[in-house]
Amino acid sequence: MRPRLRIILSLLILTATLVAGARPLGPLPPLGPLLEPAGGVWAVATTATLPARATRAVAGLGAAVRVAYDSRGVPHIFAATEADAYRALGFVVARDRLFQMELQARAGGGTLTELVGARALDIDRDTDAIGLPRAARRIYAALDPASSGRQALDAYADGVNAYLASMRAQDLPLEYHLLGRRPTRWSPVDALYVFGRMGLTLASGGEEFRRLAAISRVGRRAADALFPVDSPIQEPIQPTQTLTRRVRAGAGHLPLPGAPDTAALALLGADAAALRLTADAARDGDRIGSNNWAVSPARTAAGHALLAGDPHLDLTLPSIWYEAHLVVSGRLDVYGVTIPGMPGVVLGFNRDVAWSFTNTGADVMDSYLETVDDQRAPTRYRVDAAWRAVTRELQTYHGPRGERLAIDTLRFTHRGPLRLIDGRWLSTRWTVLESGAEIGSLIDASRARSVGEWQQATARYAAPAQNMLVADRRGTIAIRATGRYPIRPDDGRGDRLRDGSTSASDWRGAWPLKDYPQATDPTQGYLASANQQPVDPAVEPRYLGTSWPPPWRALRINALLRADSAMTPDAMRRMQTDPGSARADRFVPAFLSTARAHPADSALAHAAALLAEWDRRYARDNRRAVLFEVAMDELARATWDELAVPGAGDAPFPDSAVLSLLLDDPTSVWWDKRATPDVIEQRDDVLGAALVAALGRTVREHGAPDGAGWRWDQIRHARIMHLLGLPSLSAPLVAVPGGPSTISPSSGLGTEGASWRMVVELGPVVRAWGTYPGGQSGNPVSPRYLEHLGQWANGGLDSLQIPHSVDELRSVATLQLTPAR
Amino acid sequence: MRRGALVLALGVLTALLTALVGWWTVPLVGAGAGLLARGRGGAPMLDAAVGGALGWALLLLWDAAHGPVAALAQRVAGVIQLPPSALIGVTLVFPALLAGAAAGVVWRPAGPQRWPPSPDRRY
Repeated sequence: MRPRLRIILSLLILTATLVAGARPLGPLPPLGPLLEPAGGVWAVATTATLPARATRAVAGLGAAVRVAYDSRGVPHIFAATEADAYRALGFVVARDRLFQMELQARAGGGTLTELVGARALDIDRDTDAIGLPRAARRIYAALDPASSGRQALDAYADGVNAYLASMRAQDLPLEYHLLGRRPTRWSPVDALYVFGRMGLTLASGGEEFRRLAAISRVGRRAADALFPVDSPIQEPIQPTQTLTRRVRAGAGHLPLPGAPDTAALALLGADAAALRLTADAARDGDRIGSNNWAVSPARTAAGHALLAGDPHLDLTLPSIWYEAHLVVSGRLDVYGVTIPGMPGVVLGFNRDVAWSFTNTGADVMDSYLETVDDQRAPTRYRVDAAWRAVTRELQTYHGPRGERLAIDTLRFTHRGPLRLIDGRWLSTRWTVLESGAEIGSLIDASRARSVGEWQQATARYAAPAQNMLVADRRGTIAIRATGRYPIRPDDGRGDRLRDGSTSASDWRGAWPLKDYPQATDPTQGYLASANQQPVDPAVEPRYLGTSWPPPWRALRINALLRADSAMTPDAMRRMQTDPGSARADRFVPAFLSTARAHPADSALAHAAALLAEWDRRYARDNRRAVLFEVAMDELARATWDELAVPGAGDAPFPDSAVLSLLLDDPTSVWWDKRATPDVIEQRDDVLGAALVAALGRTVREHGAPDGAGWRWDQIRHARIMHLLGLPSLSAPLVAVPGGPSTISPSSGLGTEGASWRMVVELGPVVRAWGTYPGGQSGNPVSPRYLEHLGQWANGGLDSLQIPHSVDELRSVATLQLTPAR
Repeated sequence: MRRGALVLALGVLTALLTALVGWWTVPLVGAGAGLLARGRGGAPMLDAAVGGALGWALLLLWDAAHGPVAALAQRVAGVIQLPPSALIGVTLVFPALLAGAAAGVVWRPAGPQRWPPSPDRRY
């Protein structure tokens, strides 16, 4: 080769390779640091397991902290003070879950774009517009520096930052390599961003749109009956001695469909796409559902109180939870799950008390229609005939390299964030933005020695409201739907748009603690919650919320608890994945009864014979649940045809509890199909047609009834995606038992499920079992990344190790944290 | 034999400098190999390229001895939609190109050559 040509070619190749090595190529980060095996992506493999022994210095530590990891990778932290324990917690959580922490904090802080780029701009804008980051900063600034919450937040941040300072190149999590980013310093406010994000998940909702869509089709009166404020079937968490009949009076008799309400349609925006989204959300309404229950000693085999909990949330990898055990001699000894990024055990137990939560689902977010001075860019809004200034803040969004992506003006009224939605300026008042005592109250509660102490510590907890179930070693069990519930003017309803131009629309205060739905040591000997309406409206008529999830899980749990007067921890474990269904128990007999009433219909008889083979259990190997589910879909579509929107597919359907009550009214006009004006259909016509149609559809979609295509594990899966949605880091097809409305519900896309399962026995020595769908490590090639997934899918639980000292534990790795000089 | 030792030395040097300093030292090692071979025969570009790849292969082997590199390859390759073997291939080709090209820039072949070559000189 000619020298000049060689040199030119070499220069070209060298330049191109250097550029590829140093600069991002499209979505790919620079190849040099990515591929370099010593500190790049390959080095991630070398940190798949924790070193057997490690020592690190932590700034601010008062004394040395010993951390021993057990065989499940759970850190047991032995510290001299609580502040040191939370420093160590920050350190060890960052060690295992650093990327997850930063991602969640940025999601709640409205700065995702700085990590993942412009694709997250809309998420950041929404987060800022709803006011979460601003509220978190305000809450932190208002915390008393001497309060347990503030001290834990600061100590935790110290620990995270100590870990960041101690990181070697190979410690950088895989996701940072893939994004070409480095972790940023942790601020105490970041924990509040994480918590705010949880509040957004658990205490917000657009349920009013479901009702509005129905009003637009069949008028307000009918819509109110189809989407009742109160659950038509009552199985409240606060046991009611007077509840002799679970169906609310009149709930089964639906008024006639009314004329379409054009005003409601206009309010809805008349957007077919929006209607479709609302409909999809409604059909998946019972896809998610947390449970907890506790049994008094008198109804357990061993005579000790038992408590079980399984919060259902988005299933992600890494898991939303991280297990930890914190010990401060004579002061604190708490085991449970923490949210990476937040100090403190959220769900767990100590040597005397155990607790678990389900979401209350109370309506704590109201919208107000504001009168503004400038529709395009308001600076003032009108209240009681006087103008008030709109608080305005500029928010700049940056990309990963600091480039400016957008600037927004954020606006706030005295109620909360002010946003332009569908051409109207709406302000929002939301308890999540006004809370602040939550982390401190959970930290204080973890020291409680009794149910009473625990409830006292959580009394100031405000949002998101939780059905807090607690039991202690003395045998006391209690539940309280704890949260701040607003007192509203007039009828107290929060499910409609209020007039912002008058202060008369504003909240008048909050429910007193004594009025919260609650119960302690009920005579029935057990307590349970499954997100259902917490209190029977006959007992507490005040508005607490609406669109409560169907009662099927609550009915099933209570039925199982009633049936077993010698409960054991293992029975509690089995209950958590019980494949039985109160919904199937209600509807299957209705289908079969229809078939028996029409013996001449051979197609119906064939379909009914297949359905009759089902034991109504959503076991993974059953081959009939699929037929039932398709039949339920056909039945809902045929029954609620009045709600269909031309050109928009289906409108939202009422939940199956309403449909179940309609079964008792065989001649209701709701059974009649609008598409057949010459025929008046009744209940049996619709049930029979739905079952026959379901068989045809199931055969078309899944093959012959006895083929593998009808197996439930071929149809229903948990879909556990990595936080960045990367399939190769996810577990997208996990066969699980359960279906819609089983205790562990499985429906929709399968992206929600039991995020943690725990059973605690509060005997002389506390024993506990638990698992979650994932593992302690956030490193996708660590054996601890998916460690518990198989066990979780099979309904198993691990025995949790609760050592009193490091020496009591057979540790697989230790970490010594020493005060930095 | 001697050439093999040279390539091995380049590989070890590449591995050490990469681990201690960074990926951008790979072309420096390649350039050094090209300079050393100046005025000599052989194929210093190839030697540097193989040395670069060898250096990173050694580091990969070290990683593999301390963790699940194959599983990592599978997962990362899935993210960037490449076969795992291609990802490993790219990881070895990248330093080879850096080192080989750097050597090619600075190397002068053996023999009575001048630079720039005279117009009547044919290669």
